Amino acid sequence: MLQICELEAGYGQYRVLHGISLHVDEGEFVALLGANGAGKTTLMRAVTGLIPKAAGSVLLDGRPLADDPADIVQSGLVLVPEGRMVFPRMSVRENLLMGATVPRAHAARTRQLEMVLSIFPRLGERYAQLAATMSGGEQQMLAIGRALMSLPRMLMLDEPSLGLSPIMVQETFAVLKQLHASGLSLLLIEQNVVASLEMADRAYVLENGRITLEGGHAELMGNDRLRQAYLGL
Amino acid sequence: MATVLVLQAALQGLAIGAIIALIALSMTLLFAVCGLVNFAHGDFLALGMYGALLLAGVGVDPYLAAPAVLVVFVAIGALLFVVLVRPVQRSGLLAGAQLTLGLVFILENLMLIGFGGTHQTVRNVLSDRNLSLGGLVLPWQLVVAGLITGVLAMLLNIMIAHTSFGRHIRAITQNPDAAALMGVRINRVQMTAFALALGLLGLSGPLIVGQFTLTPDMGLDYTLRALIVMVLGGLGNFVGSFIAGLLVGVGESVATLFFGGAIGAMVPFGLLLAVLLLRPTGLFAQR
Amino acid sequence: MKAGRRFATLIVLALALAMPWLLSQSWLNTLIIAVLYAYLASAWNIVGGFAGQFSLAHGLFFACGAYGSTLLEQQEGVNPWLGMLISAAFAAALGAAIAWISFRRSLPPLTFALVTLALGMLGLLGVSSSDAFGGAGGISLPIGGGGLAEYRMPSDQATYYIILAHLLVVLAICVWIYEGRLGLYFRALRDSERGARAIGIDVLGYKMLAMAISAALTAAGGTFMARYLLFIDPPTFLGLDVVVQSILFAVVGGIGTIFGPLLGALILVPLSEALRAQLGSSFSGLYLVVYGAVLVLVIRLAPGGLVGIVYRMRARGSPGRA
Repeated sequence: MLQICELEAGYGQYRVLHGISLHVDEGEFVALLGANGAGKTTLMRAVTGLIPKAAGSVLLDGRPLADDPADIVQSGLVLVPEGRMVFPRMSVRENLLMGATVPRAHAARTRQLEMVLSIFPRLGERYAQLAATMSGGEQQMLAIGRALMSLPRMLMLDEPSLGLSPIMVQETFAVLKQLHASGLSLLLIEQNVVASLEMADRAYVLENGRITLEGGHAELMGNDRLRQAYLGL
Repeated sequence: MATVLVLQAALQGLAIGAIIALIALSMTLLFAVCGLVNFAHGDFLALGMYGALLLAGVGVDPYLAAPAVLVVFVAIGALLFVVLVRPVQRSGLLAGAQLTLGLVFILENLMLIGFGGTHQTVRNVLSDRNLSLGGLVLPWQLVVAGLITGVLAMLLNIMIAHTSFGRHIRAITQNPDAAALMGVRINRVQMTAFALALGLLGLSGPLIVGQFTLTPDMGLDYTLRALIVMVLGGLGNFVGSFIAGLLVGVGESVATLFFGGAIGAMVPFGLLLAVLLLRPTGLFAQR
Repeated sequence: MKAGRRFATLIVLALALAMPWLLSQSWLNTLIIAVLYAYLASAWNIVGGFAGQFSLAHGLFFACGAYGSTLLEQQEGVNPWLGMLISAAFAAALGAAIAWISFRRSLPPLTFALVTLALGMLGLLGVSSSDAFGGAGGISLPIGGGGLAEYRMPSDQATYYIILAHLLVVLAICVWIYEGRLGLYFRALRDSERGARAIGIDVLGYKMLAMAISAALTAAGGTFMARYLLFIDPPTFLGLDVVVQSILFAVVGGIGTIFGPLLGALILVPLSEALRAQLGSSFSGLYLVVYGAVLVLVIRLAPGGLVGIVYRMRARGSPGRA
């Protein structure tokens, strides 16, 4: 479904990504693991059109993905960005409505709103509350709910567990499992290796702007380098 | 001092404050949405006023000229955004400031060349007519100008708070990247906001022109006042700017009554200083 | 400095010294103004470019030097050179005070710019309406009455050399700051205040220092301007024109660089004069339209400043670079 081929990107003369290739098939749950500075967020910014691609291509369903962020969302690829990026001075309701900006999502917003509130009942409780006054975990729920309002065919999440309490991390991941079960394709970017590997069908490892490892749960957990680097074993 | 005089000054100040508020709101559109500090803001307003002068020369009353100038300014705004502002946006706030500074030179001197440096006035259908309420005497055109700009300012605020376009604007002011990721077409919204901001100036100019004398360099005073009100209101807080505008208008007017014009002119700056040093985020912390 | 650079510097210096003999009188006067603005822009750049604190209050310091030295001479008989030093010291204290008030609460840059704008405008309004400073009409300095020792400039040549000396002093100070530890600290607090504080830099102290140095130098420029024009009034000295032009030249030339402000002033001031000479007679104000258009074009095509273009050309010219 999503195919990234030899993607290169960076900031000015500073090249961060050196030829990234990865793919997510329809219905798959793929994890992308990497430490800070590996290039995860740069990858997300390049794929979603926030920064230009220096080289390489991104295909969605075999066709080249658009360059403009709005067109990308319209075609069904949605990102839950790092740090959640909720609109601080908008209510839960308005944040969710912002998710339904693109025409495809706007038409279905009432139905989608009901669905999101059923997945995240706590958002319904805080419907009129300003996002800035919510806890990190609640903001994460809001960010995912908002992304769901965009009618994604594939959802990408950049470090959703960052800054969250362990309980909230569990809740968040439970939601992801639920979404995966309902057929949504997922690309999860995380530092949290163990939990990610448990949930994902496949995983890649990103180091210094390059994919260095690829495989399923067993292969990666069995990889000594990975275990040393991330698990300290 | 007779309460009537104070009340009169306050009401006049309220009207002027509404005018300043609208100008500040339009400046906020440029700053918070397009990331541009527009030093030429007051000069655009002056340009609109001179436009009314021009049309008055062929017999069109300024109140009728206002919609025409509005349309022209919307077009100019869209054009300026595409040709000058958008390419410079990525270079930061300072580059934009320099751009608008260049525009100041261009606009002020074009007006000087086109209309000359002498003071000019424009008459409209309400000139010399006064509203008498009890002991109060207020120029009708000031009342009308204040009312119209006040209503426009409120409409603008309502639009921003309750329409989806307004939501897109607020999203951009709060987190432009997130807005882009939601599918907001940033360029389009910014261009519309820019054209709208300039359009508001084009509309305001002819509406208020009867009240003031025109000189090519009159823009600076408006720019400074708008800037002060924008900051007092909280840099991106549309409601706050509206209230701050009214406060500054009344404050300056009443101070002038009690202490004279020199002190009155200092009020906006003194207010700014006091607020910034006590509450750096402006009078109204929330947007 | 490498040998090649040293040689080039000497050539430039010799050229600068020879200017009075190479230029007509009107062009020499243009050059005097250009050098004055190069001086003022460089002085502003110390706090605005090196330290990244956007001050719009520099009119206050400029006026300090002008009004201070003049009033001290007229009312107390103080030698104007001494008056210049005293006013500069006062301006430095004023600048430090402004920095202290503003930054002990850690004002963000835009707010600081506005605070200084408000202070500058209050100064303008205050002096205009107060008779102690000559009011809105200003103060005239009597012509004649002494020579260089009394800071009276007998000829355009002398005027030029005095302002040239000022420029050389400020450039030397800029080089000394930029290449030294002070410059390092300024850049640190400019680029990341939090980071600078985290490594123990006294952010407030250095901001005060930057303002003080910049203010003192600007004041000296004000004294010069007063002695040159032999007339001081609030609009000219306290108005926004001087500080905005200084900032403009610094930004166009390359803010934060050593020679950017110099470049900006030396290009834009003669340009504006040349335009006025060409177009001034046709439509009064046309030359300023063209000037504004030039500014717009420059920022559209070279947002990093003119110095940036020079660096880019150098980088392209030398082999082995990316």
